[in-house]
Amino acid sequence: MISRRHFLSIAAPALALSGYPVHGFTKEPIEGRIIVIMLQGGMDGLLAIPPVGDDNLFKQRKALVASNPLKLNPLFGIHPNFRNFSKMLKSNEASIVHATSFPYTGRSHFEGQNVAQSGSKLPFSTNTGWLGRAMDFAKITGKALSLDAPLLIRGAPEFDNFYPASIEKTRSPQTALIDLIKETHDGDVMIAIDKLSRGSMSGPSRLRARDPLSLATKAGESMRELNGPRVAVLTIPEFDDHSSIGSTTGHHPELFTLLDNVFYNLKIALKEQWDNTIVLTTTEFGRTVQENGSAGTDHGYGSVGLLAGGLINKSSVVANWPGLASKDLYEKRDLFATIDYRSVCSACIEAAFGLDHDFIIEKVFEDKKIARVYEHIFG
Amino acid sequence: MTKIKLKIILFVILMVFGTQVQAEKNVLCIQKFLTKTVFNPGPSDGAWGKKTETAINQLMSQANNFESQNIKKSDAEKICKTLSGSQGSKLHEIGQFKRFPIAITEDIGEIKSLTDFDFTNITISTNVTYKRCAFDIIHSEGWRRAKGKVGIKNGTLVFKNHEWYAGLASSGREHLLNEEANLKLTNTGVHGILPHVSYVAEGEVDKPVQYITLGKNYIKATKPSYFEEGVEGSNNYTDRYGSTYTFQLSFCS
Repeated sequence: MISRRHFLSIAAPALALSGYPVHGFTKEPIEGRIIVIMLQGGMDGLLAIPPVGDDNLFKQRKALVASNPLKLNPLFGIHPNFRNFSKMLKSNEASIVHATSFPYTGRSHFEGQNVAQSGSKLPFSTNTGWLGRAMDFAKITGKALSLDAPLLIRGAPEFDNFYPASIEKTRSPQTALIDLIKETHDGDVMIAIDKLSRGSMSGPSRLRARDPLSLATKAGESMRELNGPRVAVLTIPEFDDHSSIGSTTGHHPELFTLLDNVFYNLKIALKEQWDNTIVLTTTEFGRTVQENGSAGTDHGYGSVGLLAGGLINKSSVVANWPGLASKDLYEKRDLFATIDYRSVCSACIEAAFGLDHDFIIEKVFEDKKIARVYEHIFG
Repeated sequence: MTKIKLKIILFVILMVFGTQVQAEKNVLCIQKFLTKTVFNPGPSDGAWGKKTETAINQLMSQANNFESQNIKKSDAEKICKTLSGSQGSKLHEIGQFKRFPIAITEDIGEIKSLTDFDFTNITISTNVTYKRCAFDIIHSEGWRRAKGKVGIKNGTLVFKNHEWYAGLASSGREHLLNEEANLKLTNTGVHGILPHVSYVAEGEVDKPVQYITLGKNYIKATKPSYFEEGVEGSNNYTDRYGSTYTFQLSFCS
């Protein structure tokens, strides 16, 4: 089967020949994969992707800028710990969306994470998740892996948000899901899932199964199978650095390295399925522009989304940059979010599942005002 | 004669003026379109200025995956037609958000691990081939840093797959653990016994490369008897912090 990436590589030159063309929007059916990496605690988007071309960055932040960010373009740089991701950017396999957030400004982890998972404007207003709903509409329920359940909410009703909405009343989301997947697969996939099940449920291996790097590898290996899962959710916790967040080195940069290697492990493990995959990060909110008195940053609003996968055709940073002058900040303290991150989620659903944008925003997000950024990320 | 001349002059004036009016109309059409996007054309006055030219070139470049554009005032009519035609709505959509192209000029460089492990080109014993052996790297204090499976093809190690383990952060050896297989462990960070499970396809090398140099220092086992002589055995090496590790192969089949 011709991959979408290959298709676009053939199609693009032809389109460029016709005056002032707009690159085509393709909807050829693909067995796309979506992997969501939840960055829990609120990732500091300005530390990850510093707008080095904005002079106010250095006025607002005295110490919390890496000393040697890799320059992406005149406005943006990237923290040096994202080396694998930078290579993906260079090879047009990754993109960045900056000054973005889910529509939540309340600065509560619980509410913010709920909004990020449900896709609703109001926290706790629904008991299903945007990805699960999208899977239902795309009729690919039952093929999801949520390999790393956040411990704090495991077993709670809202945790069903991670799974296809049709999976309810689970005795344990993780075991039930794995059981379901085992039921719907056979052969090598079933064996792999069984191993995964045993590995994640027993003794010391339990720790191992929740390690994001291991999970990335396991998820990729499972998802590259012909009839393997098409969705996976991974979690990297501990982004809530109110103190000693780090700059060039430190805790946040260490998490960047971890995230960077998760991207890499996914790519390696997915093999040729990488071409049909989009990996996106989510985080409940960004962090304050200025550091606090403990060399950390507090709960904020706008942050950044990192995307990678073969479904991307041309790398870029997508941003309506709001600026970092005090007057430009949300409530004079946070990076303003000028892109509703649900637009990014919609674009990923459109690219991987083939659903129409208008359908997605109406049925999955129930908000017809969500803008389409498919062309900006996948065009 | 005079009348004819006058008519010609009037005609020329009208033509020029009419063309100019039309040109201004086209520029205005572009400007009005751009004001509904994030590309600022300046005031919508029908005059082709620097701002208008920059804005329309930026939009069209973004719509064409950053192919450079050279749209001038003389293209205004064509552009206006494009914006008013079937591609208008898509261009409007594209114009709602800015894309900044990636232009990395610095060398990202080879991603290197600080560890000293390199399993490539380790010759165990010439002319020996085993489909599968187990390998372990054991710290002198007993905890296992790595384990996995290798094959031996004509005496050279070939990865099957491997898993990297790091010890407890509380062991007081953070300086080692910090370098351990891409994982940072701290007393308060990502805790406990954390492995780095890295997928390495057969015959491939892990990236970042884990370096270990055994080669000629490899001690071929002669005892105990369940190690096959010349293939299975162990090798001690010392890292730069003075810690000694043992690399061993076993269970070849």
